[in-house]
Amino acid sequence: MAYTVMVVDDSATIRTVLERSLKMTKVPIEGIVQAVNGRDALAKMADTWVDIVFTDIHMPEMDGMALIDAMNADPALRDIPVVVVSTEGSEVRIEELRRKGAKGYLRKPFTPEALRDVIISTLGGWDE
Amino acid sequence: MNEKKPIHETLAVVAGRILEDAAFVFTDRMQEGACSRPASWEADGVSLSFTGAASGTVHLWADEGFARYAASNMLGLEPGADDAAAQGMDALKELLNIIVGNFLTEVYGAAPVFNLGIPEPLDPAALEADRTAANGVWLEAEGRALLLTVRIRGEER
Repeated sequence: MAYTVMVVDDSATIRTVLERSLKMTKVPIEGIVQAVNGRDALAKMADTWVDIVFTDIHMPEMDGMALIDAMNADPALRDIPVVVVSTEGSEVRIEELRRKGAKGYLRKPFTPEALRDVIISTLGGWDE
Repeated sequence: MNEKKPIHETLAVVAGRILEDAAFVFTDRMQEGACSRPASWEADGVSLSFTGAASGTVHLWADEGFARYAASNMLGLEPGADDAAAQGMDALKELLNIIVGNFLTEVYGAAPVFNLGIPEPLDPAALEADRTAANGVWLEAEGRALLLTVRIRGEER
């Protein structure tokens, strides 16, 4: 099975870094959908099925916390796992994200190995 | 008695580590009076403010050549590529974001919650004050200079 991955970040640099890192993980990827903020992500998820969402927290217009809230409120989206990718180091904030339903957390800067580990822990293994 | 490390010294260490890990840029400290410290310098600056257990602002200044070099490393492009030049400012913003997030954890630990703003470009006129700031940190990478300053409200370290 190959996955469709959504990358949500207002920085084009980080979206590209994440996309490059995803390709290095050897995780089977069917497609990568990029979004510039939470609102853009929700609009794109209305048209495209994604298997997992990687999102930043701090973004203009609609941040990562609001995106998680909106996905939780939508029966069509609430089961899609969300991994937060952020510079945040606060244990309190990370716990708050978990209570909201984030399935994983990846701190910037990250390695492809760390990205791979969080995908395995979130989606389980896959046939290589 | 333990002496607290000046906060800009911590910023220098964290910035060096992040530039290496996130952009594969290896830096050295540029010492006061070093001949390589630029006397006149055209640089782009970005600013990031934060609130929470402490409030303040960090500025990052770098010349266009450094920004292009960092962007090309992060994006896997040739330094001369058009995309690398176009992404230079975005790369600086993101590097500052990562530096500040990690710097705050280094200084205040993992318990406090901070709210980071969105990185914003700085007015070039702000460079002169930062160049002479006592809390400025100069780094050198690939023969190019970088300047970081940190201001924390109420912090007198």
